[in-house]
Amino acid sequence: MAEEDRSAEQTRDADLSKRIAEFENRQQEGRRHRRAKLPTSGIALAGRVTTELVAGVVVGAFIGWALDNWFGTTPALMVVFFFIGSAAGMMNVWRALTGRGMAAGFVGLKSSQANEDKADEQMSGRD
Amino acid sequence: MHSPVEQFEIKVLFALNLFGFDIQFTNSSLFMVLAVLISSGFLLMAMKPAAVIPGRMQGLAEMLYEFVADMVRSNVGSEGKPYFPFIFTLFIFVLFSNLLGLIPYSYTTTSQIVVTFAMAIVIFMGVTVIALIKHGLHFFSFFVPAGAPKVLIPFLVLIEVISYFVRPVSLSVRLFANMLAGHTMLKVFGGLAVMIASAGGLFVAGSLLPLVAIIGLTGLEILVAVLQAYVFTILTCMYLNDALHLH
Repeated sequence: MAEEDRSAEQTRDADLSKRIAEFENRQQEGRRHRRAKLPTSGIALAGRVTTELVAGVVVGAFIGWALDNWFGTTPALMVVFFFIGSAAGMMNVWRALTGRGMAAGFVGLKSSQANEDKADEQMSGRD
Repeated sequence: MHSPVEQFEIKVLFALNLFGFDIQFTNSSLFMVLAVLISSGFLLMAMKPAAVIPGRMQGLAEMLYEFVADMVRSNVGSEGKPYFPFIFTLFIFVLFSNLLGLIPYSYTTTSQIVVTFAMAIVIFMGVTVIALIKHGLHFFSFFVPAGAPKVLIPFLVLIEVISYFVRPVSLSVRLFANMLAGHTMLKVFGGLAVMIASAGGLFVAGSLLPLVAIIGLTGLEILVAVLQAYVFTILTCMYLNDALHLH
């Protein structure tokens, strides 16, 4: 009688742990696809690229203009920052197009992948 | 004939003078207030029954909630929970302002750069402050690109800092430009229809062409209104994610 109980318990245990494993698998699966992407359709992407480019130049030139006013070096810094701003705008476009999100930094694909995995591990550690 | 950009004109409805501050209540403010009232009213009414099996309205409200909650969860993670109310409010406000603007004779608040930039700069400063509180001075490592040659680092840091300051500008300009362009385009086609029709005779039939185009464009504008609200919110989520996790 006791023997039967134990075996029944064992099957229930096995069943439960199997279900837990399945659940965790499902969770993992969900986490893998969790990052919602920005819309990548033609118009949305075109608009995004344009605004990033223009905003980079505008912000760069504005910072240069403000510093020029401050230091009285018109127009040297404005010219310099115009080009730096353009570079920043292009970098943002490159980031948007290669799907690096908005994260700053010149991370290679490999290290960004590693970061993602680490973040995943931290996540699973927490829940 | 009205000019296509006349619809963006700010009209003072009544001027207030509060403690020496000149506070003018304009048509733009009116539609901001309307967006807040209608969205709050809609959500309150929809959630009033709070039934286990939701009706149509409750289903709609719950869908909105789930949509934003999912966005926050997938882009920011579990640390994003405290910021969910803000992001939900932001999404609903932008969405309702955009959609309200599509009603004829109404005003599109989000077609004003002042409004979108005010929202963007609040988000930008808030996110920066959150990052500074959470990571302290470590936050500035955000601007140092990993794996770059040492000689280039000062130059790259400068670019990174500027590209960080670009955020509020590109965030606000995207929403503002989309709304401005869409509404101007609608008005241009509308004006074209009237102009062709006023030529009389056979031309009246020709004015049907821009009218058909307007029908298509209105559909596109509804899509853009929702899409831009979504983009504005998801970018806020991404900035918040950067602030909380740095990388």
